[in-house]
Amino acid sequence: MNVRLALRGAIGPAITIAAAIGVWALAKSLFGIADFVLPSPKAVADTFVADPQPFLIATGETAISATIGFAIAAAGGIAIGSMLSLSTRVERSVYPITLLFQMVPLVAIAPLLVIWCGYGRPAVVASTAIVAIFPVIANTLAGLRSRAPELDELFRVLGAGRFATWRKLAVPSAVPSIVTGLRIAAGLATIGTITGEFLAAEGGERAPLGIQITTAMRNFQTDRVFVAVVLAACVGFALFGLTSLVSRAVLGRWMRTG
Amino acid sequence: MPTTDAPTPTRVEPGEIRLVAASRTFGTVHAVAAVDATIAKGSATALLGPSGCGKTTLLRMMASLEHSDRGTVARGAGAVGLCFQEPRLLPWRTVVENVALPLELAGVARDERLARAREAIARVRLDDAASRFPRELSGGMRMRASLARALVTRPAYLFLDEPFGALDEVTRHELDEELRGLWERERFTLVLVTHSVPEAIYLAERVLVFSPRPARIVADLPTPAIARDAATWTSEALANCARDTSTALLGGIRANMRSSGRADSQGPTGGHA
Repeated sequence: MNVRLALRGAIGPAITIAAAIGVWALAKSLFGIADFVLPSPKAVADTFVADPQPFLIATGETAISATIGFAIAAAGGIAIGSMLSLSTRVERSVYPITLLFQMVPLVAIAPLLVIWCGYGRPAVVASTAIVAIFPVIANTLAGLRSRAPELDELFRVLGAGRFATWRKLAVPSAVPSIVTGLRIAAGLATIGTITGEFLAAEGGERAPLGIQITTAMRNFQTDRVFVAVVLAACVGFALFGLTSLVSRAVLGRWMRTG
Repeated sequence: MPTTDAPTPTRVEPGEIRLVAASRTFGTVHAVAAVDATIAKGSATALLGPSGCGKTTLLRMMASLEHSDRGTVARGAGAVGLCFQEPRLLPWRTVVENVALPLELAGVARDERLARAREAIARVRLDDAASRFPRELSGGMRMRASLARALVTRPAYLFLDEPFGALDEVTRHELDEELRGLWERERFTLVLVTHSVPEAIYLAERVLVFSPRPARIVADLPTPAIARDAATWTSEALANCARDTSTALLGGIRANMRSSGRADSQGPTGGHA
């Protein structure tokens, strides 16, 4: 039943993707656009099929960086959000700094990341975590703060202490909000990874997708740029999909209906 | 150990509540005015009055959720169970987990608290729904779960704040019957806030009728034993009691309107038996 529902749900997006590819191919042939500006969908597919190995290695590298950065953002964001929720004074002092961190463009911070972490994975992971952490902090804080006041009163009646109220009421109440933050962060993580790779990743045999994109761009290999972009989108989609699946399992208690 | 808001004037026995000139003001709103009453151990008392008169505030004072500004509210030793107007169940917990919550917070071991929660669920006849989530229950079943949670600690006091007010008439009467049965078997000190004259007479041995705000006792009426028997609901004794209660309720409202000169004072919301 679930498989059938999932298949039915995939029909719409599949048709949209097929239509977009059709329009792309049609525009290419109708307007005679040069290959280095817009290669045909077939040329992009052929480029990948002809030599998939560097692309697959790059995808693996990018996926590892995105996953590690996302995990750090998830753990760090939940921890910071929880800490901020414990005291309004701490929240007022620290939250604007996290907000400021979110406002500064990643490209402006990247040179600092290279200075501190050097070229390579640590800087890429750091840029991923920086981009992905804010929604987790904001949603954790909002979730922990937004519990129903009448349930707070219930816990008071039952003689619960501050820590017990936090653990048995505030945290479970916040789970749906935290999960929403994680899903947003999963979507952002790949953006942080690719941007980090543009600025701080190393080339060579194990060059990640960000390097594949910049190298292909410099050589006017637009078909290779397209392959890398599609694969980067796949990494983002996989991370988001995995987070959504785990979320659904975790949220079972909150979403279950008769 | 008595719970007080001021030095207790006399010793309060376990299961007993003593109010001496208990008053409560919120800013400029005078909610409760110098209420004197003693509620005996194992008794069932209904607090009846028009909407917003301060009966809920008085109940919360008895349950130590509010303090009194003047006078004293003294409660004897013993656990307290409280049912609010809404069930207040945690949506991510099953019925049995919700009912076990007071024991969990008190540090009772998992196996023991689940066994005691199941026993409390059986007492309110909700056995079949023990492993369901609140959203899978009807309104009446949620209130039963809330009642089971209040009873799981075997309380000496059970405070109910219009717990069945949002339910349909049939479910409400069904729950009234079960509550009545529970009280007769377990004899906790029951204090109930209600708008309904028939419910007050059916559930309580004694009805304290309150004036519109600030709450003052305008009548302290015993209810006839015959009211406990659902089969005799149409009896003359019951009708007389209902009439006396309604008269006291209306009398309090009229007296308050005369004294305050408020022509737009609220009328009673409870039905007439």
